[in-house]
Amino acid sequence: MTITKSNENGKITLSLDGWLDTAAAPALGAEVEAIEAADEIILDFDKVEYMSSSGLRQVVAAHRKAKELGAEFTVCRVHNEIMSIFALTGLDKKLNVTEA
Amino acid sequence: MTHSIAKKVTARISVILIIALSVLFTASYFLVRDIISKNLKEQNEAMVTIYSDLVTEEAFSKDAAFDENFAENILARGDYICQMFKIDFAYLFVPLEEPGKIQYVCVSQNKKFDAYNPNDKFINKIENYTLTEDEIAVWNGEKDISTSITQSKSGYEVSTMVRVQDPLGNYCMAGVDQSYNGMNREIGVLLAIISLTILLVIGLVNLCVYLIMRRSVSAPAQKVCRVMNEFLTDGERSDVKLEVEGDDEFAMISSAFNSMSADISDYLANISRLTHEQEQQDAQLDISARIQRGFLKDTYFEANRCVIHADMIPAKHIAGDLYDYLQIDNSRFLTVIADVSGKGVAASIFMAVTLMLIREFAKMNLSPAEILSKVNDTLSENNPSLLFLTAIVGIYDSDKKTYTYANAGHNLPYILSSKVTPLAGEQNVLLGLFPGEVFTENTVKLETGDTLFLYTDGVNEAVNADKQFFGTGRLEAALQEFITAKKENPVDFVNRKVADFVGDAERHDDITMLCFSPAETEHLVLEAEEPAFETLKNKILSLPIPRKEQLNLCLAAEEIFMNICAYSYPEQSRKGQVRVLIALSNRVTLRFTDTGIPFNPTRDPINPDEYDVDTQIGGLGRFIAFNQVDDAKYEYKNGKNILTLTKYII
Repeated sequence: MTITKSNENGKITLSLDGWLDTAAAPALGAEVEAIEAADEIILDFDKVEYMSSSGLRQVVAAHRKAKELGAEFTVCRVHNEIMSIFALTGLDKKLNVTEA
Repeated sequence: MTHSIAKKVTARISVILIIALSVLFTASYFLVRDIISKNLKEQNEAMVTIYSDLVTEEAFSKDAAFDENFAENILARGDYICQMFKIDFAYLFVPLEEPGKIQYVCVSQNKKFDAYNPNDKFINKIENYTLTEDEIAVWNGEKDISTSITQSKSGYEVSTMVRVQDPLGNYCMAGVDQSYNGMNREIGVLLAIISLTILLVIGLVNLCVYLIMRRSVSAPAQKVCRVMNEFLTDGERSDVKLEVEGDDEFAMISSAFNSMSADISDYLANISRLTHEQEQQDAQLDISARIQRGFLKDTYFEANRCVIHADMIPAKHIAGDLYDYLQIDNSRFLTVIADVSGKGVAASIFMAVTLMLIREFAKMNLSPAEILSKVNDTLSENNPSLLFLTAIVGIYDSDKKTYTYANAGHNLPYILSSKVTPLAGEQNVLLGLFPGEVFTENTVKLETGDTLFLYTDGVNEAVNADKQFFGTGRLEAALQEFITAKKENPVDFVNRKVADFVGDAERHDDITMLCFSPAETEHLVLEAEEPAFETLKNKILSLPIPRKEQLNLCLAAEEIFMNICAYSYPEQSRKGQVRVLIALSNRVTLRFTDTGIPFNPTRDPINPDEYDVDTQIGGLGRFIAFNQVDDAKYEYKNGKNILTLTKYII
């Protein structure tokens, strides 16, 4: 999967493209870890077709990072299939997740 | 706490005797007093007669009146009478006009009397005395004699009076007094002596009774008790016996006990022997059942291009039903279901022989009809017990996607597609009785997604507590429900339906089912390392099923596979393998087999409501995986973790 990072005045958007599976999860983890300061962290899921629990863990890690930096955290443009996994695990209520 | 019979009896006898004695004592006391007072009265009356005769004789012989001279004259003779007859007083008096007053003529006394005073002669002395009614009657001449007895503390005082007359016609009362002091004490002492003697006798009698009772009742009873207890503690001892002495009740009890204990010992020995035999028989039956179970193939099997589910539930220890399957060659797969008449050991032997024959003939490349014919001929040749069986033998050809079968008198099977269809075809004659029979066979087309369901009559003839049969109606309804529900497999589904129907009622017949579904199968052997998942992922993505189902299966497979990679082989240097079976029929089956540490992933999956995003890491994978499929089943068998995921393709 590819991850595109943009930073607009502290509003950091990570746009994900592809499968957020076990193989891809560490890359997202590294990107999130690399963020040093932010007002807002956004994960753009528009092009994510698939997410496994290891991917989900990195989303949770990003949420914790944002909390640590005192930044807002949003997962946006989540498609139905992925949304069902957020819903299944109850994370749609615990994280700020918005549908596509 | 127990009390000796001897003591009890003795105590009771004592109480009864003491009560009787008390009554007797009181009665005797009054009786004796009565007799004595009566005697005193008679004696006193005799005395007064003597005294009055003396007085009258003296008066008339001297022609004297009752005056002072007469008194002086008679006084000494009265004294003499008193002394001789132990009378206290003898006296003459005249009642005066004034009531309560009398005037003595004279009073004679006994010198031995305590109050004796020789100077006091009472001549013409006036005293206070009130006459009793009787005495008045005597004075008036209405009565001859009066006796009054007055009780004092220490005894009695008896006064007896008569009326006497002098020659001049004067009347006078003559009386004698006697006192009996100390009589009560004497009677009391006498009775006390008698009572003590009786008490002593009672004591002795009781002691004797006690000793006799103890010897002839208590001791034998205690002995019987002791021996019985001994017997109870060790009932298998046949030498616990009571000695039979004499011919009393204890001899009878002893004799009865001896024969009873002998009977019980025999009985226990018998029970013990029978139990032992029964245990041995049960053990033999257990072994037989295990051997028989060993003949049967696994209840689940993936053949080259079909998937099998089967089960046989014996009604008793060992069964007469059988199912079997066999991969004959790359494309041909044999299925067998059969039901031997009767149950138990004979049926199971017949079943084993039949199973071996079918397997052998199947390997000779024979058709189902030919197999049945050969089996029938072989069984019929030597079947003195006239056992028989019904069977369906079929061969699935995965190249042609056809199922060719021959039926020997067996229930018609069903094809499950979108609906339940009985598989028509000739039923032929059953096996084992008529040699030389020719069997016909039929061929049907079986597509991927179809399931063939074979069963024995134990299913439709299962009986519940109300004596109702499960019946083919309920069976077909259950199968239809299965098709709609798309859950587990028809064998387990129908098994549960039958079990629910039968409830606690006794099972009468073995229940056997076998179903098989044509399937596309693929076996993968993967290293238990993350990158190896790519191969499995590609296989799943190449299955001819909708993209959505592919992604669901892929997610489930990834979670399970990664779980195995992470936990199954904790020693890094010895990474193991994961075998994955992918079977596609009307469902996709993913079966993961690894030889790692035993772990049941279907147990205790995480509860997402309690998941804390801020602290917890992971743990959701298994939960996600099982939500992507319709069924997940885990078993640990032969050192292998086997997890089967099933997803129905609609």
